[in-house]
Amino acid sequence: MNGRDDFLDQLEDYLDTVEGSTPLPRSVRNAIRAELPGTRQLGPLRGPMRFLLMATQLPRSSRYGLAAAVVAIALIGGASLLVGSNNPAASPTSTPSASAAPSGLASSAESATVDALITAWNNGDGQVAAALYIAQPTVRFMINSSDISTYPTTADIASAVTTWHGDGAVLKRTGDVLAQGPYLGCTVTWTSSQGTFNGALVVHPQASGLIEAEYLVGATPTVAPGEADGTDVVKALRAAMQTPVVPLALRLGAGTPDLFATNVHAWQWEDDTQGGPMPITSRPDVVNLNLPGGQPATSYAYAVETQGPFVLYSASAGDTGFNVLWLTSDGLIQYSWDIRIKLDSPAASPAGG
Amino acid sequence: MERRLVERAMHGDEDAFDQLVGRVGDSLYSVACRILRDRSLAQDATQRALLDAWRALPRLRDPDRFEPWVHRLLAHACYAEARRERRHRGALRLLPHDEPTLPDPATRIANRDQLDGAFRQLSVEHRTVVVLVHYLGMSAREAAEAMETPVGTVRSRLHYALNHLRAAIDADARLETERSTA
Repeated sequence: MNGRDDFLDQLEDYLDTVEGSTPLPRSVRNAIRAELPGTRQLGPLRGPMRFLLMATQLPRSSRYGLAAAVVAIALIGGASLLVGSNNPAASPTSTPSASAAPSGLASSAESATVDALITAWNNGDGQVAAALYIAQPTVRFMINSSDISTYPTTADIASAVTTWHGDGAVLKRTGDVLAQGPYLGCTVTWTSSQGTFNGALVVHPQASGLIEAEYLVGATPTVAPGEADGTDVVKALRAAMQTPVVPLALRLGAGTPDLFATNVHAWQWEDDTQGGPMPITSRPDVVNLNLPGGQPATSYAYAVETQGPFVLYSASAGDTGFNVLWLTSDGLIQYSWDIRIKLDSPAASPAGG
Repeated sequence: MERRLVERAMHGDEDAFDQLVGRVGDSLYSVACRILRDRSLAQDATQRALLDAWRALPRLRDPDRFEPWVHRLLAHACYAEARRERRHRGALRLLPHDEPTLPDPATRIANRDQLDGAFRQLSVEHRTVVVLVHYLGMSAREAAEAMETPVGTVRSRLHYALNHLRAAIDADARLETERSTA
């Protein structure tokens, strides 16, 4: 080798010739053609995803800010659900409503330097990308969705920093970011008028494209930064739960908009009917999560799509979206909002019970 | 790439998509062959990428971006194939042989063998960045988009990969020098 140029010449010559002629074999092309009729194309984006797609038409900074607000609200909503917030504004039922968008635009004007790790992923078929990072001291996050051709860059993210301080509640990172890649996990505190709760936050995508946020109260993960993938983080978080949590069942009350949980053992919830914070262990049979309390009746239409450990309910009138709340077999509550299913009748009377 | 073809395929026109396959298939397959160094795996990866593209086409926002988009899908498909392959492939290592080194006119061939051995030792991510930049001629930013990684990561991977390849050739040159002076 006589120098850098010579080396690169050799390398490029090697790459050009190493495989010889490489036309795509006819058999592969035929196989692709044969599979097309039976391979269903994904539909155009609808609901909140359509909303996000529309957001991509905005200027980049506004676009990411807007999307950030949506996810921010979703995350905070999920967290507030699990810490028993009775604050209607923090309820996850308010998450995907279109009315949340303007605050995201306002937030996008905020700027800050990027001082933390970034993670990005797609949902396996290349359709949903997301990026999330956490900067000290407040959790910051954003999502870019809807189109694989618009993945955010570091610069994009830096220009679209959004911090959530919803109604005085703040989610703060308290430890190192434990993982990068398809998962991101860290310890956090959730501070609101109801007090401060320590826990951990894991955010990750699902193959379906749902963005999942898990908030675990009382978890102290011990995975060293940089040594774990997301799976390890989740395992560590689960192992660190101070009190075992058994799977619970969720259902909507018959004739009421209330959501009930059964078999809850570990967390404390604020329950007005009991005159203050109430350990759930005192009522292991059923707990009113009181999700829609205080919300205008016209804003929500509830219809139970499934029973048992999985509840799906619309988040607002029309097709602006719906929430999904479910439990894993490991006892984690997962909260998300979906994008593709539209409830047939937003005004349908509750079917739960 | 003809925008109209892409738009027709986005609306479910199978013939249009077949024509797109005809236009990008060779290029995708040649890239996959070089990344995976296994034609069977490369065929699977190319087929997977193109079927993923068909499924996802209605959500492609800008038809003019079809080609970089499908390269991105191909990179993912190559990663998936490489991971699948690793599960049932044992470690293979090329051992140095003691045959006399060929004289100077064949040095380039010897270097090529070293290059080939060293290239195969690289991880699929490192091979991908080398192929995208030095075979397809992508810029670091374009490669970063295709690999969905920050530009800095692409540059560091490329730096590592080139150093590894260069070291393999340098080692061979040193060996040859030692033999000629012995």
